[in-house]
Amino acid sequence: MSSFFSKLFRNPFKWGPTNGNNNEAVLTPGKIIWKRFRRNKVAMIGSVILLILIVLAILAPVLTSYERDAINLRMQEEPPSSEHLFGTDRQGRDLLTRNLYGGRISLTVGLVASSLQMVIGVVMGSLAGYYGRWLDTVIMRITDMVISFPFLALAITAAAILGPSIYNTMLIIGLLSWTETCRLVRGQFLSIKQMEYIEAAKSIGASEFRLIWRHMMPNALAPILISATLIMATAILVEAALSYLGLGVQPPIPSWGNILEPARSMTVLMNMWWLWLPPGFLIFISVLSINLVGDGLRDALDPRLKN
Amino acid sequence: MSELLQVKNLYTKFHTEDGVVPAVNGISFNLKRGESLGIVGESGCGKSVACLSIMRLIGHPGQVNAEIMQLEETDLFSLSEKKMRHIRGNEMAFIFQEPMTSLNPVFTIGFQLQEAIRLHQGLNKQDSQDKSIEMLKIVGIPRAEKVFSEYPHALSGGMRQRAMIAMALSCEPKILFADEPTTALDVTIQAQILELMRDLKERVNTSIVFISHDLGVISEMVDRVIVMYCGMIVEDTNIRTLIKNPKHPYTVGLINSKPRIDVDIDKLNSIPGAVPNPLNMPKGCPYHPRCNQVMDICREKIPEKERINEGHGVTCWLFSEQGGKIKS
Repeated sequence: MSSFFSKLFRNPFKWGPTNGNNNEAVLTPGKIIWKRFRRNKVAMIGSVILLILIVLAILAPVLTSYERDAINLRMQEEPPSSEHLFGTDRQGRDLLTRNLYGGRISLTVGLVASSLQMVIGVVMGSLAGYYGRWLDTVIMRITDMVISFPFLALAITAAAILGPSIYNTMLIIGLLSWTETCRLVRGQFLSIKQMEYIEAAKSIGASEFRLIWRHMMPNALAPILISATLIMATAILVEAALSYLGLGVQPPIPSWGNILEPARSMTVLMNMWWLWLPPGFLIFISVLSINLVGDGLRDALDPRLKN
Repeated sequence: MSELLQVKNLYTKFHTEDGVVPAVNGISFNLKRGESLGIVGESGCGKSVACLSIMRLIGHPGQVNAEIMQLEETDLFSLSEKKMRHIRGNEMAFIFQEPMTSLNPVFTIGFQLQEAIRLHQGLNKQDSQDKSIEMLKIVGIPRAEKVFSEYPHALSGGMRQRAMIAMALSCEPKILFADEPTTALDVTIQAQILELMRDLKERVNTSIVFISHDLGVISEMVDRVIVMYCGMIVEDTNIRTLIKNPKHPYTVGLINSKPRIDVDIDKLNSIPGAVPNPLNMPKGCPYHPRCNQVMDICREKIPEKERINEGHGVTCWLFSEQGGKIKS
């Protein structure tokens, strides 16, 4: 964990000295951030829970002896037992297995969708912030247009038109949620552009590409990273909502959202808690832990809270 | 050709929402190899903008125009952006006023030092590293190997300015623009930095263009001085003449407002009035509303530069034949 975070935050462009052995005392920004993050108990609990969820999803084939889609019509809607720890669903599939595999899908969709929106948002935002003028106007008006649609209504419509599938779900979430990142990055770039060290980098002959990616982006990284975690939580929620409505990930591929689908019926909701409680709890706990990590990052990265 | 830098009729305008702001109004000067030139003037007179214009670092909404802007044989004005990038940092370097904000906080000193070296000299990793550690030693930073891998926040202002100087001189530029490099530092550090720059100038044989509003600093550092007011050069001469025998009423005012150690006075002298709003320049000579020797023609026409001596130019009607005639 420690090395993971220090890798994540270590300056990727740093050329450390190879001569001399007196550089171990250098306090890198990564070390400072990691130190502050580690001190935050709640954020650490969040990251441990998140890590457990990820490990469970990765180890799904090891943790269960059932096949993901194996139907057993003699064992329909069985309550939890020693044979099926989380019970079975309407087709007699083992729900523990499906919840584990569903975690893979849900977390992946969340990750891919938020990465997609990050890429779009960061590129658009940095272009708008750095070049300004007409390009800024065009990009900001596009952003305004995307924002002015109610998100879920547009997502449902788009899913209905494009047809429900995993990839469309990722695409829809990614294409509809980049606006926040775009505005954030633009704002950061507008202020970083005015900094003297950017002028200084220009004066030693750095190209525009180098200015944007090597000099400005690392300075804007902190808020981008924080917003990325929070957006990933939202993406997981949206995926669950779409799948629950039957417009996201399609059975037999499980996701936490579509495992919840039977809970649309009142009898299931009242009598068969094992069908909806575990996936609901998993969605809740994953979103909560991601948000806790995001909050912890915000506290660790905000220089104003330094103490 | 002995001239290193030639600038003729440089104009820089900023197109703002309130109108066009003329920051530099047709300045001309030459710089020889190894010479150090001072530019003095109060805040907002265009001294920094003039130097940034020469390095073509003025972006939107600024607009630069010049009849001649030449570095040796290279026409800086028509050069492509790509070739210009090669000149920046390599042949012309810039030291900024504020060392606390001129270093990127997310990179180590070493990374930033190596950047110019690697961009321009094509050295490999090991060589550029050796070179930058050597540069840090040259500018007098102790424990250079350690500072190399430090982040800027671990360094004091004076140390950062030394690092900036190391960075600017790492490619041995022909011209070094120093934009008030010691204003943000306290006096003892200031003296050290000036000493360092004088020393390095000899060693690297760089021409320095030294921007300052501090005549004391200027007189220690340079051979020749340009006095600017409202984007125009009002007087240019060597430093001794400027201190002993200033001609332009503005320069006289500036010299008189220097506190003197040998005279006991209660109140410091100052030039009455304030710099005019660049959006609303007075007609005629821009200095006439504050000038104590103002004549009728000053209110009507902008004076031309007059050579009153070898290497001493003044832009004032008092010293031109036409103005003199009207006066007499």
